[in-house]
Order: sequence, then C-alpha cells, then structure tokens
Amino acid sequence: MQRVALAAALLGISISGPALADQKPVNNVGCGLGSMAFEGETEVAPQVLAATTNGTLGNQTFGISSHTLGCAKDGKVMVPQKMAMFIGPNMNHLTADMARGQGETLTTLAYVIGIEEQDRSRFYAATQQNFERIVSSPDVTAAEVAVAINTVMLEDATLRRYATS
Amino acid sequence: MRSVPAACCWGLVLAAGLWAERADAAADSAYRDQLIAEAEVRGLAATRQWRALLFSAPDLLGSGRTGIVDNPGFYLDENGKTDLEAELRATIAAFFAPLPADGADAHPQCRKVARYRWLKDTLGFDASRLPEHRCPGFEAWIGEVNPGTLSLIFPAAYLNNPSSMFGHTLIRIDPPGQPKGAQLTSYTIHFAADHQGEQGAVFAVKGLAGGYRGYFSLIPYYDKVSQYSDIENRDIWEYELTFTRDEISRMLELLWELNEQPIDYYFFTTNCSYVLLALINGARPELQLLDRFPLYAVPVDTIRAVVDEPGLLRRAVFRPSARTRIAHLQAGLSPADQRLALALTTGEVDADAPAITALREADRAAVLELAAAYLLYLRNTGAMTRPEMAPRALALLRERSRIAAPPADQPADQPADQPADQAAGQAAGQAAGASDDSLVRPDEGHDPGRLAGGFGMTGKRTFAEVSVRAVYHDSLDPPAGFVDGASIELGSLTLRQYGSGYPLIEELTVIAIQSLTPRDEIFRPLSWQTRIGLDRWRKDGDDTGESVASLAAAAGPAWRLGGGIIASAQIGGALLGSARWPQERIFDAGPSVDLIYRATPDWTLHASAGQRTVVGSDQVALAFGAGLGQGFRLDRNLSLRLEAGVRNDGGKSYTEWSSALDWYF
Repeated sequence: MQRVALAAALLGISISGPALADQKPVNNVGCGLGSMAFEGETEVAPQVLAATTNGTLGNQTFGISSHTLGCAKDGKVMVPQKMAMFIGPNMNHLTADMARGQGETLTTLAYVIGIEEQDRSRFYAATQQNFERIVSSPDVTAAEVAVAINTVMLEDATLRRYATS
Repeated sequence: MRSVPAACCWGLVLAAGLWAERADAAADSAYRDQLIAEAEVRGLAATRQWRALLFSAPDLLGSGRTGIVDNPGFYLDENGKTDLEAELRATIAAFFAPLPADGADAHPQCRKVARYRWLKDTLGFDASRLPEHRCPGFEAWIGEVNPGTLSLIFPAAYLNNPSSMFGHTLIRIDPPGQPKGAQLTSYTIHFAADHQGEQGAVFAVKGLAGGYRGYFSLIPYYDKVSQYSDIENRDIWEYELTFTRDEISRMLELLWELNEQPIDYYFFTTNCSYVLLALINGARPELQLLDRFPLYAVPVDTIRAVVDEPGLLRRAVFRPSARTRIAHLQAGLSPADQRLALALTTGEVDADAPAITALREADRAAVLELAAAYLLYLRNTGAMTRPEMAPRALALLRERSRIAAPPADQPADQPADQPADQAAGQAAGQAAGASDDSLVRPDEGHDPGRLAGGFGMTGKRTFAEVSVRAVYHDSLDPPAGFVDGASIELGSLTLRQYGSGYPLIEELTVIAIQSLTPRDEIFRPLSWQTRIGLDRWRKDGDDTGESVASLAAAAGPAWRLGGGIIASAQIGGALLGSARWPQERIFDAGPSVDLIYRATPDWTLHASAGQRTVVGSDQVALAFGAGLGQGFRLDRNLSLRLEAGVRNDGGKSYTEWSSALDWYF
C-alpha cells in the first residue's frame, strides 16, 4: 500500500485530501479514486412503478458545472489523474473488458490515456495478459489499478510512451 | 444537496478585469436607444430566434406566448416571461451596464451570452460604442465541454416494468475527433426534478401538478449508462443528429443562461423531454419544436419530432442493457452450458473445475463471461452482497483473461449502428444476436394515443363502438418498437350502442398494466398485471348490464414457448364496486392464462381465459371468460383488431365478437 501511495503520488494522483473528503462509500460520481470493483449500484434500484423516474436524478448534484469528470475545481486535469478518475466509477466494466481483451470501457480508457489507434489492440492485449497484476485482489482500488496499468505500459516498448514515469 | 455549480468559474473572473475595457458609467445612451429602435423596426421580438432564446412557447388558449422558465431571475424585464418586446428592450439596455465589481462573468453580456451573440450578429454592434466584455467563465466551461456532435439519448423501457415505457431523454455532447466506442466520457445534459427525496404517491401527485422545480445538470455519460444499463436494465437508443459545432455551441450558450434557473416540472408537459426540445430548438430555431406540443409531451414523441425533421438524424445506435447482453450471451450457449454458468455464480462449481476446463475454448470463454455478467447483474440489483460476489467474480475474470479468444457477445455487445437512410427492417437483420423486430427503434413504433371505431355482436344483437385512449400500448397494438409482453394504458374510454338504444360507457380504464416476462435457465421473474377501471357486466347476457368498478391485480410465471409464443399462468383477484354492492359482489378471485403469439411482425394473437369466483355478502357466483384477440398492423399508425369470445359474468353465458379500426395519434 505504501508503494502504491508513492507511485500514485508520483503520477499526480492525490489519494487523500479534500477531493476524497466528501466521497461516499459507493461512489460512482466524481473522483472515486478509492472505488473498488464490484461495489454494486443498489442504492438507486428502480421502483416497481417507475412512471415517475422520468426525471429524477437520484442523489446526484444539480448544476451544469463541467468539472464532474475531473473533480478538479480549477486547472487542467492531467492524464494519469484523469485515467484514475475514469477508472473509479467504471471499475466493474473495466475489469470485465480487460479480462476479455476488449470492450467499450477499455476503448474509452485508451482514449482517456491518449493511445493512438494503431497501438490500441496492443494495449488491450497487454491489459488482458497482465490482468492478474492489474486486478490484484477483490478489494483493489481505482488508484491501484491506474498505477498497475501505468506499470504495464512502462514495461512495453510500444506503450511506454503513453505512460507516466 | 444542490451545489452552486458556477462557483468555481466565478473564481476565475478576477483576471478578466485586467483586460476588460473599463465601462463608462455614462454609457452611450444614444447608441442604446438607436439599437432598441432598430430592433423594434425590424421586429426582432417576433422572430423565431428571439422566441427560442427566451424558451417562449405558444399559449394553449389565445394567441400569446409564455416563457417556460419560471424563475424571474431569468428575465431582465419584470414582464419578460410574456412580453417578448419588453424583454428585448431590457436585454439591449442591460448590455450597456458597467462592469460589475465581481467581474465580467456577472455582466449581462456574459450571463445572457446566447442573447448577446445573436443580437450582436443581427444588429451589428459597434464595439467602440458598446464595449464588449470577454466571459472567461463561460469560455472555460464551453472549452471543457468541447462540442463536436450532439446525440439525443433515449433509454427505452425496461423489462417487467411497463411504466418505464414512457422513457426519458437526455442530450449527449461528444467532443470532435472522439473515436467510435469511446463515448463514455462525453457529457450529457440532463433535466430533472429536484424532488428533495420525496417518493411514491406524494412524488407522483406533486410531479403531475408542477410541484417541483426542474434543473439542468451536466453528467458524464458513463454515469447515465451505469444507471440505465446496469441498474435499471434499460436498452438505450442514441440518435446522433447532424447539428454543426456552431449550432451546438448556440445551444450550450442557452444552457449557460439557464444555469440554476428552475423550470417548474410537470410529468406530462414541461417534463425532461419537452425542456430538452426547447434547448435543441435553440440550436436551430427554424425547427420551431416547441410549437408542436401544445398539450402534452411523451418522451418518444419528442424523439419523433426531431427524427422526422429531414436530414437531422445522422444515425441511430442501439446500446443493449446489461440484461440484454446477458440474453445475447445466453442465446449463444446450450441450456447445459447456461446451467454451468449459473452454477459458477452460486459457487457450486469453481472456475477451474473439470466441467469448465473440459469445454471448448470459445464456449469456456462464453460461459465465464456469462457467469461474470450475471454476478454483476445480481450485485447491481442488490441480490448478492459484495463479500459473497467479489471473490467469485474475480476468479471468473482471471480464468477468462487466460483465454485469448475474442469476447463471446461480439458484435452485439458493442453499440449497433443504424444509419439514418437504412430501412429499419434491414438494419435490424444485420445486428447479430437480436431477433428481427427487437431492433425497431422506439420512434418507429405507433403513436401513443388511439382512436378506434367498430362494431360487433353480443349474442345475436349488434352494437357499434367508439373508443379513445390517451396513452400508450396494449398487447394487440402493433408491437414493433415496444417491449415484447409489456403493455400499459392510461386514460381509455369505450362507448357502446346497441340498436336504437343510447350509448353507454362500456369500459373505462384509469390504468392497466400487463407485464409478461418469460423465465429462462437463469432468470426467474414474476409476471404480473393490474388494472383500475370500470367494466360492464352482463349477468343475464342482456344489453345494458351494469357498470362494475374494479381494482384488480394478478401475478404468476411466464414462459417463452417455441415460435415466439409467450405464455403466462396467473392467480389474481379484484375489489369490486357496483350498485349491487355488497350483496352480489365485494371481490373476486381466480386463475387466468394468457398466450401471446406474434405470428408475423404485422399480426399478433392474444388468447386469454380466466375463471373467477365472485363473492358477495349474500351470494357466491362463478364467472368466466375466454377469448381470442387479433391485431393486424396496416400501417405505422393504423391497425385492425378482431376479438371474439365467450363470457359469463356470474349468470348466463353469452358470446361476443367485435371488430375495430384503430388509428394512433
């Protein structure tokens, strides 16, 4: 954990501080760096008579601020951090996609990282082959997954240039 | 909890003062009056553009127009909601205001950024006489949203929940150059009621009566996909429109003006879809979209309004829900392999057990994927706890990652493209794994209202009948574009007249829902139906009979038989009210069966039979009914319906048949 925290710090992923202060236990909105896979989404389960769900927002925040993705109040969000922020709320699908070697969530992650088209299938294969390292335990967090993917990219001659060292 | 979303942006504003021109307190009042006069001479207040900027919709009565935004803060003139000219004058005058102490973003030019741009372009503002202020907050915001293309998103109905057929709409903005299949990080624009945690009946009543404020929000698409695909298990249709970047920017400027401006929320009129239409109308005011919905707006209608516009739809993309993906995976596996996947999820069989490793590689991949997807489904629907589910899911995924075979549910797992110019039937045929008509787009289904006229016979006496229904779909309406086995009707009335008698209310339905969801190797849903309404019972088989109000419900399993037949057996009961209450009837109860067969895409048969024991304080009677209904689709909004059966309402048995022509509107 210590090493992950260090690696995360080097990548510019803050895994503590105000960004996490108001994070909910099940967090599919916002940063979610501490999100774990298989959290489930049950608190917003549909009602039986949902004619009325037409326009409810669950427990989300109203407003058109565009920083939902970044969780950052100002400044530009750097790629490694963006990556971890995307992974947080998308952990369940991402792990499934990595295990299968492709899928929409994995494609979107490649886009977030900025991987060019010709290198994407290599990226997909690398995450599949290193699945056990990336998803090391059922309790792995989004920040840990981001760090592990970065390490896998660093080890690959082609993908190296997309990684943060 | 409602944030003050723009707060972070206002923070940037201080810098603006450095380069913004110092506004002269004695603004150029002559120039201001000149612009106002020119706007009046040119009649700008009556243009579509100005109406679109003010979200002004035609009044139901009279020739006036009213803005749909309710917060007075949205308007610069106190009568701005109804007086388009006064608002125009006030807007032009406000642009001359001195720079506020808290920066340019608080200046009317920046708060009314859409109005400013249009009036500047239209009237050709002279920057030397009307100093222009840059709006750093707005610029940072629109830069982050980065509009490239616009899609209208429609989450379709979900299984076993017919009321969700009304649907919902939102807008998605994709950045330019975003690769296909990477739309999850796009922003969506969502309009929703701030219901302050209220639920159930209170929510419904207040929602209908406009008791809530609605607000816009900007939410990442993955969040909405997770809600609709994973939690509610609704398929999503994405309608990509041909708006240009400039047009989308116009719309976003309008959205910026609406930030924090509440709009009263009504489920049927100013609901999510209607308000989003108002926003889209801002992208291209010539469309005059708001003028098309004087009475009520059902979300799918608003999709139609856009799709019907020639050249506006670029393509439609189908995004299967988690439940639909599981069905695709199931369809590719034998029943034995499906049971194996089920055993993996319960832990009876381990991922490395011989029964699994003995499978062919592709089948093993598919079984593992199905099991992992089903586990996630159980987790997301609350049927399994995380400590129970997580180690199992991870073990399955690890096994799966060792198999290089491509995903089992390709290509159905990827959103399926449907270019606009392609006929629906052809496109559906190309999507692997889905049955032909399951991919008819919801907007291609029949309209929700129905007007019907016909005739028939009770015993040997003929009758004529007319009926009208407000919304939405029943089992004999043309099924294309709707969920199989699901029907919901609200507000329907049938009048019947025998020979020279006078017309009587034959049937009145407040609400009727039928949800037949077949069981399979993995899923074991309960099918159900309910109805609140008024029926005519003919105990002696005579013309008049008597009106009986009932509150009925039934439930039981449903199965899919060969050839696409859905069969259901249910037990149910009803509370009854009539002139002969309580002596003859208080309640009834009994079994019923339903068979729905879609013989062809244009021909549906629905056979039903039921028996009820009708209990009153003085007597107990046996009633039954059996019948066959057939619906023939003639056109998208026209169908023919034939029904025949035998009935006994607790006395004499009688036969009845009817035929009707249904027109949908």
